[in-house]
Amino acid sequence: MLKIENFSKSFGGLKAIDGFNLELGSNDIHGIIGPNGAGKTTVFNLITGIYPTDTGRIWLGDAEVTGLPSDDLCCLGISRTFQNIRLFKQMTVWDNILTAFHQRIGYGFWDAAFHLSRFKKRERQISVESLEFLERFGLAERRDELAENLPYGEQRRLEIARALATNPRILLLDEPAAGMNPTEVEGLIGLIRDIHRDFELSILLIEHHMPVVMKLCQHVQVMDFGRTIATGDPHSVINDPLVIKAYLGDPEEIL
Amino acid sequence: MLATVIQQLLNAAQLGAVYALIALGYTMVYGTIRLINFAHGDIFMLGGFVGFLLVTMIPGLPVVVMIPSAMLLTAFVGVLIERIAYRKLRNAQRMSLVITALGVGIFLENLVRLLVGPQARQIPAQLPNKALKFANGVVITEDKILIIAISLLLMVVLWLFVNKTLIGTAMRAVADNKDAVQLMGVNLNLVISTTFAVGSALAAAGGIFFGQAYSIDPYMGIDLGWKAFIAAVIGGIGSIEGAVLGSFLLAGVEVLTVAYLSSNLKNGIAFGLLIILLLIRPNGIMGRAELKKV
Amino acid sequence: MNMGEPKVSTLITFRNVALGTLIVAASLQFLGSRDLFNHYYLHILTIIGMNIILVASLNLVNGYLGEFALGHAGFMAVGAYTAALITLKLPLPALLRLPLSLAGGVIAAGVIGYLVGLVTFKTVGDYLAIVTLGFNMIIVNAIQNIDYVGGPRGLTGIPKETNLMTVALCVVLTYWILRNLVDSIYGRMWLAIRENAIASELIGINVNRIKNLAFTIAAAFAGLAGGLYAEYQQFITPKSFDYLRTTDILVMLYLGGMGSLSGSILGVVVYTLLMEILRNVLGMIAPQLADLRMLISPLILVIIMLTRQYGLMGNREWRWLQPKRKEVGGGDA
Repeated sequence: MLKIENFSKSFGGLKAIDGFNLELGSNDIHGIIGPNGAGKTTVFNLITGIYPTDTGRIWLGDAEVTGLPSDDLCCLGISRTFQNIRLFKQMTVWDNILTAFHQRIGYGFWDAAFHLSRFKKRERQISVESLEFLERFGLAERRDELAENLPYGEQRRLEIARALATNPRILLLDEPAAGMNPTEVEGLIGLIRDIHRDFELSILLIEHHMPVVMKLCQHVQVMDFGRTIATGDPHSVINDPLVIKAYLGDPEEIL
Repeated sequence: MLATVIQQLLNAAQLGAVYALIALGYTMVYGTIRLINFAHGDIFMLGGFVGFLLVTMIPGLPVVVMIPSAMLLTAFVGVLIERIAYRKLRNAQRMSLVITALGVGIFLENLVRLLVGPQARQIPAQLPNKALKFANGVVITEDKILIIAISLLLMVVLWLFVNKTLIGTAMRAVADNKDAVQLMGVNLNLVISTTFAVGSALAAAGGIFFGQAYSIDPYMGIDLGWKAFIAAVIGGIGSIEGAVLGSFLLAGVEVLTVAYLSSNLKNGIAFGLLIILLLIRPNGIMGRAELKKV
Repeated sequence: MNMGEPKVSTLITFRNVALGTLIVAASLQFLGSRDLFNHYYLHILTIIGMNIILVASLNLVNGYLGEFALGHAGFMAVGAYTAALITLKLPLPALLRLPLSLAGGVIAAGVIGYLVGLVTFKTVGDYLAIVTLGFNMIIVNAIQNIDYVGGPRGLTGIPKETNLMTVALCVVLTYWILRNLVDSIYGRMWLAIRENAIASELIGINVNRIKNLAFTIAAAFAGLAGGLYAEYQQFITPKSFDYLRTTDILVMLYLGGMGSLSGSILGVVVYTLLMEILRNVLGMIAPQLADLRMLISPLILVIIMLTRQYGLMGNREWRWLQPKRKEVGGGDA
């Protein structure tokens, strides 16, 4: 589904990513772990077109998508959430999702400018669809609240929901469990499992919460200083001496 | 033939010198507080008028007293403006600062207009302007050379100030990282006030020279301020060397346009140059790119 | 949310306010033509109307979208000159002159706005302000150099086609379209871009294209105001559209409130009335004092910025301009 070959990226003199490779099959859930500053989020930024890569290529399905801008990548099926939640804070929960439905809005500029009948009809239909979508995530009751007023766990959920609203084939989750208490983490694990089951997509997950990685990922890739230092199934990876050494330098890990 | 070329070069140098004196103020203020001080062109205008008023109200005032006095007075106004209008907004949205600067500029223009009248005036000749005759029929007036020389001198003094003095170093530090500098106990307000003072003083000198060589009117800050600003951006806003480089470059292009194309096009060409440059090299010739962390 | 509303306020809908405005405008116009209504007041109302179109359209870009465009008067100029040329140079039946010239102004301004936007949105932040203001000056400079349109001397003898009624119609049309757009997916996309441009890109929004859409629309409406202006004043020069005019628009915009269409109306009315009152009151004391307006106007701008940075209405809207609350399976826009 997703194939990355030899990504590398330097910022000024600093080589943030060096020779990164990845292969993600349909319906896989892979994890990317590593100490802080290893370059995990940078990899996500490269995949989603926020920064251009210095070298390397990337394929989505059979098509090469190297160098495409973020919005094109989204239309082709790559979606993502962020480490620090990037919701549209001053917009309602409903509007956050509705905006993500823009690709299938079904009316054009002139319909909107004069509120023609096609506009009215499609707005009605999209309202229904989007509300059903919200219900699926348990957010329908909060639909008219401003996104910034939601409790933290629900904000995360909303961000994931919004990422799914664009019908992605690949979902990139950047530390979704960050800042969550154990109950919320359990809820998150359940949510991701449900998403994986209900929507047909592959998931790439950056996480520091090891339990999340252990429970969800079939395959894990460990990064340190921009390089992949280990790959494999979760159990063998965390017992790999190289990995342990990489983490020992970082006292914030929750192992 | 040679005579006209040399004349044009000198005109360009003179104009470039004036632009540079203004552009330096723009670039320093942007460097320290990231504000495009739209009112700066009007400080330039104000400086010219202060010089004009000094000359007309105190007959016989020697030019070596007039110029520094005008520079000092204008510097004072610059510091005052920063204190009253900009300081409070230092951490507010950028837009607010820029709009405020626009408002201050228009206020100054209309104030001068109301006090002195809208017509253009010329500062009576202050600098010796004997015509010097050279070979090949080249005739140069002394004041042109003096203006270029004094301006260059001021730029050298500025460079020394910014690079060799303690407060100059503080200015450069603030331009790099405002918050870290405060943590080191540097008085941010003092540094910023100094920036404004120096920038305004230089602009005032530019205003006096321009008023000497051409004329002054309350709205000249718009036209020339903009050109100087474009020069600063072309050179890379935030860079002192860039401001000087951009100024002479722009003046050269402008003088060439007037000489060989049409004087009506000179503004259009200046802006066109700006836009083209921003498209290919968004940070100017000597500017540094700031990468955003996502 | 508010179920037990007194009946009166449910009458204040957009449709009714619009109709009311048109009826009042027509009546005042009629009375004026019979010399039963003060012509000076008629004049003020007409100016207010044109300014409302200018401010509301800029509000779309600077307020709602959260950008920082400073060259609005340039597009007004394009519209004004285009409309003026159409009425002056083309032989048209009297009834078609206004609509066709205004349409021409709108289209010309929109096209120029689109092209400027293409260039402008390649730059970001502070540079956007510079580039847009630069284009304002380029446009004015270009007009000054075209002798066919009178160069710096301007165009005179433009037929007077604009009156309070036509302006009112245009204001209603402008607000109708702007409100419709804000209340659609486009409005949401613009808000999203303002809130978080990167996240917007990641849900597939082509940020530059959608920004330019707002910019083009704003330019087109500025062109409309320009056309009305040309056919009201009957005389236009490049200087009428320089950055001083842009600043006037900005003052009214910020005074009213960014992102608030209601604020645009309020800001324009308050500012215009204030300036007129000052002109008359000060002028009665001494003719020269009337010019003090020129100092007060920028001071207002600075004071707004220093104190209540959000303007009179902030980003709130009067109820009749608010987007309709969504009802599933029932209501529609």
